[in-house]
Amino acid sequence: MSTLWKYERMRIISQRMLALILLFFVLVFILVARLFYLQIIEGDKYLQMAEKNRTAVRQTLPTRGYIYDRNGVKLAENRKTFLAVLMREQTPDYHKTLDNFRKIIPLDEEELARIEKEIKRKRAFMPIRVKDNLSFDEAAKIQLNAPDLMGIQTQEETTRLYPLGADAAHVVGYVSLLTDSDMMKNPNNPLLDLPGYRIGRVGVEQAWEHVLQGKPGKRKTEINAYGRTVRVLEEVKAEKGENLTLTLDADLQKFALKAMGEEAGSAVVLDVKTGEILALVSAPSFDANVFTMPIPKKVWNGLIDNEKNPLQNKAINGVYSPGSIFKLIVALAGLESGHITADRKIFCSGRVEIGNHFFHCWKRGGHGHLTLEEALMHSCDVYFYQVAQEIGSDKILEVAQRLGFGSLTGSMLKGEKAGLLPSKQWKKEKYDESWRLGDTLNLSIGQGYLLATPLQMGRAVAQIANGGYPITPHLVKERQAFVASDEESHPNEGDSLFLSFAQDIIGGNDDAVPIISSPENAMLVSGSVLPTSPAFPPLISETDEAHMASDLSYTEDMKLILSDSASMKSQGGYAENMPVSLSKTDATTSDTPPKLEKPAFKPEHIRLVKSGMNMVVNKVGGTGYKSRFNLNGQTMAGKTASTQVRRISMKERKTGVIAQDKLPWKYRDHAMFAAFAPVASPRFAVVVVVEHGSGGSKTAAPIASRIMQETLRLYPNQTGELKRERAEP
Amino acid sequence: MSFFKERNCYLKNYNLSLWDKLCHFNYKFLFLICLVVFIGIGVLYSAANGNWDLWASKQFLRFLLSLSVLIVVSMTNLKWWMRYAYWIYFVGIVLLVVVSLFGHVGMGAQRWISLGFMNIQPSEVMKVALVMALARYFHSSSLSDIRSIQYMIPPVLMMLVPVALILKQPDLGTALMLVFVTGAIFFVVGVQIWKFFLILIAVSGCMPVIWMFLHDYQKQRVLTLLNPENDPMGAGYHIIQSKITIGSGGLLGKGFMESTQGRLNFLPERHTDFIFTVLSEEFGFLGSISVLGLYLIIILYGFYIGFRSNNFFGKVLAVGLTVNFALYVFINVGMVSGLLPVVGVPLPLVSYGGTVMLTLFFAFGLIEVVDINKDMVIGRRGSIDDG
Repeated sequence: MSTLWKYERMRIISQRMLALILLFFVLVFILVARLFYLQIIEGDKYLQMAEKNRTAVRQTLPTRGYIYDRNGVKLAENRKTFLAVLMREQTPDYHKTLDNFRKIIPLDEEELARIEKEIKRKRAFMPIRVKDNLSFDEAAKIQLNAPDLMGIQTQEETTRLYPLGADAAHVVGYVSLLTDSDMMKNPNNPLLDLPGYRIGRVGVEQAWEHVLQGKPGKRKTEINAYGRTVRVLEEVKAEKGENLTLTLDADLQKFALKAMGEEAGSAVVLDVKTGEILALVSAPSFDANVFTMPIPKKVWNGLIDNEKNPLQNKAINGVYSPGSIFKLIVALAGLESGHITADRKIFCSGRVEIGNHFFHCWKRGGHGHLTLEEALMHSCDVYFYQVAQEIGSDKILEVAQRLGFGSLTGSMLKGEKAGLLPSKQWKKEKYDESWRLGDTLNLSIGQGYLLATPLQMGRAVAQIANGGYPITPHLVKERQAFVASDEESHPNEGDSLFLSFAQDIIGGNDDAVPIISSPENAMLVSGSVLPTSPAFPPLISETDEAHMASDLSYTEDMKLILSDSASMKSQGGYAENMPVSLSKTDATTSDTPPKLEKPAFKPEHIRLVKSGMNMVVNKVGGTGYKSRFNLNGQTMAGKTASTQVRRISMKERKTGVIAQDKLPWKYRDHAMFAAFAPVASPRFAVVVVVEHGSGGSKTAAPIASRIMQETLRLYPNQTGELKRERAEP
Repeated sequence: MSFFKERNCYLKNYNLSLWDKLCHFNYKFLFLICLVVFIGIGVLYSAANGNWDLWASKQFLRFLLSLSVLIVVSMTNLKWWMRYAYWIYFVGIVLLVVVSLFGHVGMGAQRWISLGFMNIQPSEVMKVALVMALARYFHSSSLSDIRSIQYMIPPVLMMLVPVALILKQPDLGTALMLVFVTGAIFFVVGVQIWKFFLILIAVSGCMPVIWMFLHDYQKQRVLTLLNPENDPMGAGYHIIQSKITIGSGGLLGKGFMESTQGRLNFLPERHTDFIFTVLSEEFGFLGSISVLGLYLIIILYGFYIGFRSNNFFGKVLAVGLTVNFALYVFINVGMVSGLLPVVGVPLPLVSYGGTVMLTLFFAFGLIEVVDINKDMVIGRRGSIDDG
């Protein structure tokens, strides 16, 4: 019995053990199948996920291209500055560190609050900006006090510097940190995701943003689970932006802004043969350098609240009634229509009655009998009322359009306005009113609905001065691409001892702040002269009344004329100089077959108008006579304009018009002067607009005269490409 | 039946000398165990980014300590263990009670008693003690005893008391292991199979009630297992990263010391419960199934020792301890590969940790005792000569 139960028990346990082994085999098989599924079937997927886990690709900032003036003077450059950051994990007590830091470099309450906020938000190993824009000396001081400043590190940074400060702020522009709306506008630009990237605002910095910005580099790093960089796996260097050489002359630009004095307004200097903009000034100006760093509220409010509107680039964004300057256009239209001849005289009695309205001449009592030249010289309103009545507004508008009114000039600056050429159809659409004779008369003296920018006026005058050849005002002379040199693959090696010291402390873990290699490491390889403005597609964006069609026709015209140098030689005599920089226009217009065309105007018409402008300045009694000069035999011709910003009532006319200097500033007339020089062989055009400057001859003409004299002094040699006698880099 | 044949000649006077014991010692079994330990030390070295001092060296010292325990235990007399089986079990229960009253709280659970120089984890002691007590109980039972319900009440209670105490800590993994080991012992001693099905049906019927008694974090683990992508940075993080780590190893793995998931800390606890993932990542599918194969061989060896033992106590003891070891492997690998919820069971012999290694080596020492004394015949009451 006992043996039997023993035997039975042993049999059962052996059977059951075998069954259990079988079960374990099944379990092992399930595990192997699971591993097969994870590692073999899904292996690639998980490998990718692991790879995504461990690597992070960060963009690195490219160095922005420099901007030079025509003589090589730096208008915008990059300066190395230093940034103090706090590595919280490297200090036992960051409050103490910050207190010690404040003893060396002061921090205000606002900054401290920001730092505290960042400390709360960021992980312990992420660097926190303590103070930026530190000089080398300040950074060295921090290094010297390193034992007291546990956790503080200095890092290199690039800041944009504008050596001219306020002198070229509007035209060169500035860069500043991004706002949310920038991100919205450019969702696909990887640069904009970079912390610390500064985008071009206004001026050339904005318009040539895509050229200046360069291409961001990529740094693929291995990161651990907490996001800390362990090592760099691969790196693609950032490509530097191209350098731009502008047509501006820094000295002339400075002089022009200074000449504007305390006035609000703008001044433009153009090369009438090439369309190069030598100076583009808007006054008052602002220091472009304050915008590269977070702008203090006080400074910002000061700029915003200023009634002279310093932030506006009045040369391209300010629109004015061109006033008497427009009489040049009406004169050309009259001559072209055949109604006006050189000898024909028109009588000015001081006013003209149309319907039951009186249209007054600016001179009570009138000018008497006047030829066209005399009418321009005295800026007689009645003369041009008569011309306008005879030829009609359509003819005036057609000529104005040919000279560039009502369309963007092609300067490519964003924010440029196209002005307004009021046609009959326009008025119908806008006001649902029919065109009246009064509108034509207002148009004839550059008043009414007509609006133009100073740059447009400058372009028109330049085209009259050069004999009727269309030009495109432009700012960029050359583009120079940067090519990285070999040394660049070790961005930290070439740096100073001081920096390698800093690097030691950082321990290479500068993950949050991309390394910006210094521009010195890059070589300027090709200085090839690239096509100027026409090569870049015009960046006309949301600008309101853009008359694109007419703008395009100008590009065509320009090219056509240039291709026909023989006809130019016979008619204007500018052939040897004309095509200097414009010969490269074929980039955009090569697809249209060239056809031969003459200048936009007949030489004798141009000559008459120019003669009238000459008399304005150089003949006794001319409205600009006081501003005449004779600089080594070179004289200036011009046209004054004063445009009302308020209506003069009948009552006021009877009691006597209130004197300008008795009016509050913002009710005074705008003063303008458009000039060219030298009279004998025009090369430069200057337009000065002084907002609320009372009278063109009184305020605008003297400024224009000084600017023109300086221009002639700087460029005594006016043949060929404009070059300064002695380059002052 | 060959295994039943009484082979030894000195049955009546069964007393082995130390030399005899050393001669009968199963060196092959020990070799397999040490092989797995050495693989484990290599993986720990790699998981610490090639740092010997972080885990590997300590693990090696524990191995040496555990090895000496194994050898000392293997030299003892099987009869002695049988005699004190219930006492050991009782001490285990006392320790569990003590730990629930005065134990150290770690990771949200009361598991340790600190003795100053070392920490005792009574639940680990219980894993061996319960098997020993059950083996002792069934040694003297006949088949008809086993098939009666009343006779099965004491062993069920023997299991339930420690399980209840351990669940209170709370340590679901260990409690479940005790339940499974007890189930396996019931199975091998001959409890009818229909009873297991009955229990299974009853338990699944009680599932909703059990669910209510689970702690929130335990519920969370089960829910996370069902859908880890629900909360990839929270509760699902372990499972997702664990699967990524294993999966990214592919067929041949990334190579020794080339683990990225482990080295870069994507996997917390990579040196303890999740060490298998590092192994899978570095040595791939072939490496992981090789290690699984080694485990399977050890398990089979344990069963084989049970087979060839000629006394019932030894058989049950060997099988029970082997099943315990096997459960570690299955639960851990199932857990890290996303088949089971994360219950905190280490990979035996490989995971960093002293108590588990020591307990396992103690258990292996007992299996060696069973093997050395395979020809001993122990009577129903525990005396050698009781035939």
